[in-house]
Amino acid sequence: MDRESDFELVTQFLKGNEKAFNKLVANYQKNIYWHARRMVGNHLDADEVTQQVIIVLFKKLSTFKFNSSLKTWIFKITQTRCLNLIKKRKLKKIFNLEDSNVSNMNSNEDIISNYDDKEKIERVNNLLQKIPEKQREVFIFRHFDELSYEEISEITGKSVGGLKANYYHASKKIFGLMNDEE
Amino acid sequence: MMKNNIELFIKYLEDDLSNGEKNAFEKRFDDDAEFQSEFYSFSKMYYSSKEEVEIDERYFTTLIPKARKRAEQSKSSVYMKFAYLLPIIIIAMFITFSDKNENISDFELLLQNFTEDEYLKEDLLSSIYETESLSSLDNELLYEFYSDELNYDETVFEYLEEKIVSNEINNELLNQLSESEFNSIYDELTNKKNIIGER
Repeated sequence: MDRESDFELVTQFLKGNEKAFNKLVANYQKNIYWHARRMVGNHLDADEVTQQVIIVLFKKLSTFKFNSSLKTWIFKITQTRCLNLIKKRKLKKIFNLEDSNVSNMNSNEDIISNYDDKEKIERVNNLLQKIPEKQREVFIFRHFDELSYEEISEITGKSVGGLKANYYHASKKIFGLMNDEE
Repeated sequence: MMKNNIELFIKYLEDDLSNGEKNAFEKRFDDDAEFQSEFYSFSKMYYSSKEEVEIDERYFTTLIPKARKRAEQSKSSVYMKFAYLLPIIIIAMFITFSDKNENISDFELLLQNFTEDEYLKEDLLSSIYETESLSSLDNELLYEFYSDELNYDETVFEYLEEKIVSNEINNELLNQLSESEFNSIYDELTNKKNIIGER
C-alpha cells in the first residue's frame, strides 16, 4: 500500500465514497488481524480487536492528516487496542473473573482449518506469549509485520536503539525456544 | 551453540551488519563448516516462522458488515445514555457555574466535543455518566481524554491499577462479581467514583 493510493482512498472516502473505505480496509485488514492474533494469542480476541480497529477507522479517518503514514497510524490503533485487551484480561484474572472469550477459546471457531497450519500458528503464538508484551510487540512489528525500526519508533514512540535491543533480546528467546523444541 | 549466534544470523539476514561485520561473517561462513550448518538451520527456522498459512478468506468479507453493525448498535446505546445524561449535565452545569468552579472551561470543552465528535462523545459519556459532581473531574484526566482518544483506555487502566495497588478496590468483594458487574465497576472507575463505599 503506497502513500499515494492511501491518500487517494482516504480522500475519496471523505467525499462520501464508501467503496473507498471498503478498499482501504481490504488493504489493511489482514495486517490488522495477524498483528492482533500474534499479540493476543487467539482468533476470538484478534477478531474483537480487528472489528474495534475498523470502527475506529470509520469514525476517526476524517481526523487523519497524513502527518505520518496511514500504515503506522493503523498499526498504532491496532497495538493500543491489543494492549488494552491484554490489560483487561489481566485485570479479570486478578479478580478471578471468567472472560467469556477465554471460555470460548476451546471452540473450533477459527479461520485456519488445516490441522498442521493451526498447530504451527499455535506453536509460534505460545512462544510469543512467553515473552514480555513490550518485547513481543517489537518482535511482531519487526519479524512478522516487517516494519522498519523507524516505523516502529513512530508507532511506539521509543528510540530506534532501544527497539533494536528489545528485538534482539526477544529474537534470542523466541528462536532459542524454537530451536529447543526441534 | 546456535543460540550464541542468533543475533548475528538475524543481523545478517536483515542486512543490519556494517560492511566490515558482513565481510567477517562471510569469511567465517566460508571457513567454518559448523557455522555454515548452523546458519542454514537457523535460516530455515527464521523463514519458516514467517510463512503464511492457509486461511478461510470468507472471514475477511464479513468484517466490515460486522463492524458496521456494532457501530450502529453502539450509536443507539449512546443516545439512550445521552437521554439519561441530559438532566445530570444541566444540574452539574448549574452547580459548576454557581460555584464559579475552576473546571468551567473543562466542562465547556467537554460539551463542545459532545456536539463535534461522535466517537469521543461515546467514550466521554460513559465516563461522566455517574459522576457525583462534575467539579470532581480530574483536569489532567480530562485533558488526556481530549488530547488523545487512542490512549483513553490506557489512562483508565492506569487509574484502575493505581486503585488496586492503593487497596481502594477490595479484591475479595470483586471476586464475587459477575462479568456484567465487573464491567459496570469498570465504567464507574472511569468516573473516579468510590464504588466500594456505595455498595
